[in-house]
Parts: sequence; structure tokens; C-alpha cells
Amino acid sequence: MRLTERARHVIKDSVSEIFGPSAIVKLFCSRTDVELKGGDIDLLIECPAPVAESGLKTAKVSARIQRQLGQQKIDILCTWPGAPLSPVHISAIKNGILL
Amino acid sequence: MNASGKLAEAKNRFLATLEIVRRELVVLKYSHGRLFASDIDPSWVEHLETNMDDAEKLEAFVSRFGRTQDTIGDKLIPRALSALAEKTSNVLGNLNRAERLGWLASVDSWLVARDLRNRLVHEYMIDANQFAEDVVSADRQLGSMQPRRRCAFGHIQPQPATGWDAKIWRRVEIRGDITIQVWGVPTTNSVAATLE
Repeated sequence: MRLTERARHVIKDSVSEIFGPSAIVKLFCSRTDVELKGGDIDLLIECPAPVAESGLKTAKVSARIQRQLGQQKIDILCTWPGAPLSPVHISAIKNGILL
Repeated sequence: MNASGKLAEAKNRFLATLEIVRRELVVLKYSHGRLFASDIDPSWVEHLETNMDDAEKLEAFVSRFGRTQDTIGDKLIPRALSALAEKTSNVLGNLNRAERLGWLASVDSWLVARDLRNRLVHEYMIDANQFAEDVVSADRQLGSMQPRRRCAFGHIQPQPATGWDAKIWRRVEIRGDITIQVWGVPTTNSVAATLE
């Protein structure tokens, strides 16, 4: 995993603050491939139950991470049991690395 | 070119950019009005598939929203800083500076608005409920990007200046809805703008 310890903490804390402590966050896509250099941060937030205004909350998490880690390209997906899934969601759930 | 020549050039550049932003705000406001004249709910989203007219309205709003934000963040703010003989850094650094100067109420709101807009252009539009909710969130966030009734960018007391380049001092008013007023204040050697 190419995230620094600090980045990991910032991400986990941001998610926890906005989505609550029971949400889990996974890193997926380019950053998990050791061969690739740099790249965007792609995150999946898995919540135990449906979340109201999840788009806004996700945007808040992204903003919080950017403020602390500097502006980077951060893509965040959010899901919960029963939520509609795109192929990207499915892949992220399956292959994402728990932070 | 000497230092004062460069500064004058920076000010002119800022003013030219301000004019571009003014225009972008006008068309953004137009597209915003057109889009939100409808009730944005899941069934509206579902009909986008066949309703080309509404799809175009959505597209216009989202793209104008993004473009205006990009112009302000990437160009207007750094050029305003340069016109004030301030150092510029990266986008986030400039936004933070703008916040400290009172030009932006909240960098957080700015970043949230940006992210919401990006979500709307994503391929992840797989859920009509979610998409409708995100469009409404983006609308609310846009409102919060004009944080004060009178001031989105910092302002300085307006004074018709003596010994000041008269071309710098001008006022642009568009139907009273969007007003951009620019003052040049020679004593503080600064240029600022207010967007209402």
C-alpha cells in the first residue's frame, strides 16, 4: 500500500468523524498496485445501514482529507447493505484493502 | 519591465479575469434557474434517459458550475493575490489565503461544492434516488459559496480615487441580480472586488 501512515490516519479519522465509528473504509484501484507510481486516492466507505445525504457526507470527507493532505484527486464511493452497486462498487468491495 | 509596471499588469490581468467570472456567473445563474424550475426527484432523474431537454439543462448547470469554480480557484484568486503583490502558491494554499482575507467564507464549503459537482459528472449514476439527492446537495452548496449577502470576495471602502488610473475604477451591474463592483484604492495599493 502506498499510503503513508499519516494519510491512513487522516482518512480513517475523516471517515469516522463524518460517517461514525462503525463505517469501514477501504482503499482500492491504482494505489494498491505496487507497480504504479502515485495516482489518485480511491476509497470505498462501507456503512452498516443506509445513510441519508451520503453524497454530501462523502464530499465532506473528501474536503477534510484534501485540507490535511493537500489537494489530490480523491474519489470516494459509499455503500451499505442493499444499496445499488455498479461494477466499480463490486470490484472495490471485493478487492479493496481495509485501512 | 520594472516592479510597478508588473504590478499594473497584474491588476489589469485580474480585472480582465474578473470580467470573465462576471460573465460566467451570469450564465451559471441562468442555467441554475432553468434546471431548478423543475422538481429534482428520482422520477425526474429517471426521465433524463428520454428527456433530452432536461438532460441538456442538467448538463449546462453542472458544466457551468464547474467552470466557474475552476476559473475562480485557478485564475481569479491567484490573480487577485498577484494584483495585491502577494505570493501565490498551489490551489489549496491560495484558497486558504483567500479565506483568511475574507474573500471566501469557507475553504471546506468550496471543496465540498467541488466534490459534489464531480460526483454529478461521474459514471456512477446508477441510482436515481442518489443522483437526485446529489443534485439538490450541489444546489445547496452553491448557495453557501456566496456566503455573505454582500461579499464573496473582500471589499475595501469605495473611493473615487485621485491620481488613480480611472480605467481601474469601474462598476459593472447586471440587472441588479449579480453585481460586481471593483474599486481601486491607491493608498493601500490594492484592488478588490465584491460579488453580490
